[in-house]
Amino acid sequence: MSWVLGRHPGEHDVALFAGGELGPLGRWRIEGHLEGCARCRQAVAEFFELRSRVIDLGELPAIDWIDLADRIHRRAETARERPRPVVRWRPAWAGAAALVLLVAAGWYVNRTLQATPVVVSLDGSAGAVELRVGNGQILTLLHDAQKETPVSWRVSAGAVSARYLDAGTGQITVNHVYAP
Amino acid sequence: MFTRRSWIGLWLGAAAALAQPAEPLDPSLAIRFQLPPDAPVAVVGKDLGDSRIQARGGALVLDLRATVTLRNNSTHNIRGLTLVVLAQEMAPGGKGSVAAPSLNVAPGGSFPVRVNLRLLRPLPVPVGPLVEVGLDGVLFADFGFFGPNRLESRRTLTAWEMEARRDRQHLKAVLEADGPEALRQQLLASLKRQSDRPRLDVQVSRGARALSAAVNALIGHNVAFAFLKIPDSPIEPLSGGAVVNGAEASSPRIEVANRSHRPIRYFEVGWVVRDSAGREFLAGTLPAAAGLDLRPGRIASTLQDRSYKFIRPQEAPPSIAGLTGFVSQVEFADGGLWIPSRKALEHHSSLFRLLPVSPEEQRLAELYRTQGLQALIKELGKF
Repeated sequence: MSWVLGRHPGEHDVALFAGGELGPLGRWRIEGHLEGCARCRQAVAEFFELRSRVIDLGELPAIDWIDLADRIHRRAETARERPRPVVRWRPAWAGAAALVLLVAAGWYVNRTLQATPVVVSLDGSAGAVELRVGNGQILTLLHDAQKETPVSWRVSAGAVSARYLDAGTGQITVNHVYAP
Repeated sequence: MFTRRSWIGLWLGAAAALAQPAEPLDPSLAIRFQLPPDAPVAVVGKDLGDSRIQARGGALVLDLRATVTLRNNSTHNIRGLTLVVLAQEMAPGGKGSVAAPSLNVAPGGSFPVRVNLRLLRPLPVPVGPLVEVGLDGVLFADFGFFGPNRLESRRTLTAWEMEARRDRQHLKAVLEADGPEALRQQLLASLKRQSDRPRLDVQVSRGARALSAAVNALIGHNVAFAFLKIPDSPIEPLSGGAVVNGAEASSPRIEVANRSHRPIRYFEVGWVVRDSAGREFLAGTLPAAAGLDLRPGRIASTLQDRSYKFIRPQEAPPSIAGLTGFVSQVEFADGGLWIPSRKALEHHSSLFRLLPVSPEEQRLAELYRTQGLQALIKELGKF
């Protein structure tokens, strides 16, 4: 343990804490610290986020980093040795420049639009109604309907509900999930 | 290049992915029931049954199977109740609720409500309970209401109660006019209607899917609503449509006129989807936008920035070929509510076949199925 109460915990400990790998004492001490330290809470959140991407990273193809670095060096050397051409303005370039600008603007707008919205979805299916934000399951309300009794769904713009005869209480019960 | 911190994170992620489920934690610490001190109901029992809470890898999985017993501390019969379910770290505004309609709980009486939910949240465990259950509203037999009503429980519970009275009245009328055997036939028809009702799973989305609505506008096509005329409806649908692409309908919009003499603050239009094979399914309802103030004789439109994707369990996705709308609920500015009459619904036989029975009709049909005709007649006599 590289910190004491009142001081910030070390990076190793924060990472271990985020992964649930820290021992009970260390965990207790970090939790106490996190209550009053927004900076460390942020660090824990970042570690957690990072770890959640591990599966995606694991799908990357194998890369020979040394070979890649060599090739980059060789290209840089070649470019440095090559004589620079004299740049002359030609009218035909105006159209090309406009085209490049248009493509770049299109790429930027598309990228912005794709990055901004998060999918909020409400699902009604056989066993549950569920609220999801992005790929994360936020809340699932399960129905335990009596056998031989149907479940009725109701869908509106902001909510999905399931109505059923509860197996435990024998009462009509309606589960709703609402979009934020 | 990865930093030292990144490598630690990656190592931790790999360790978490390989981790085995941990020892179960105490689920009773994960849920808190919190009712207002002046609430007409009080929690008199809690049973968490086989609820489980476990740390798996880097996340906490809560499987809650809770039965809460509530006592009616008021002086009126309770007809319905809504509990709001809030999970920590939930997206702002996102929530769930569990409602119990078709109750008839006398003062001093108790009744159970089940809250079954699953929640997955990343570690570390937050301070305090993961789930809070509170009260959104209680409806009494005299249509009195108690509660913060943040989920519009007053309107929902009132509509259910009006449907309950409508359908009990219908069954009583059948009994009085044509006798017990006619009542039995009604209940058998109701049970058949419930079991035969075609069903679609649906996913409602906004955000990135709403963005795809723009794409749908290019590759999809506009389908106009056909409207069913419901007698005595305070509003008249004038026009409407949605952009349809295969099994997905985006941005449905409807224009209506207030044909009543009272200002309207809310309405719902039900919609039915017809696929290319001619089969029809109830798709759901399109509610009016919040803050509506529709004066008599005026026109308003509702546009939903949503996409509705329909899925037929174990079958190919339906290809939407037609849309039909009908007015299913209207709330006046003075709080009065309108729902279609039983006669009006039965008049449109194809619609009647698609609509779910009311919660009360479902309860009464189940009573008949499990306890017989005499138990049903006795139950009808209580109201």
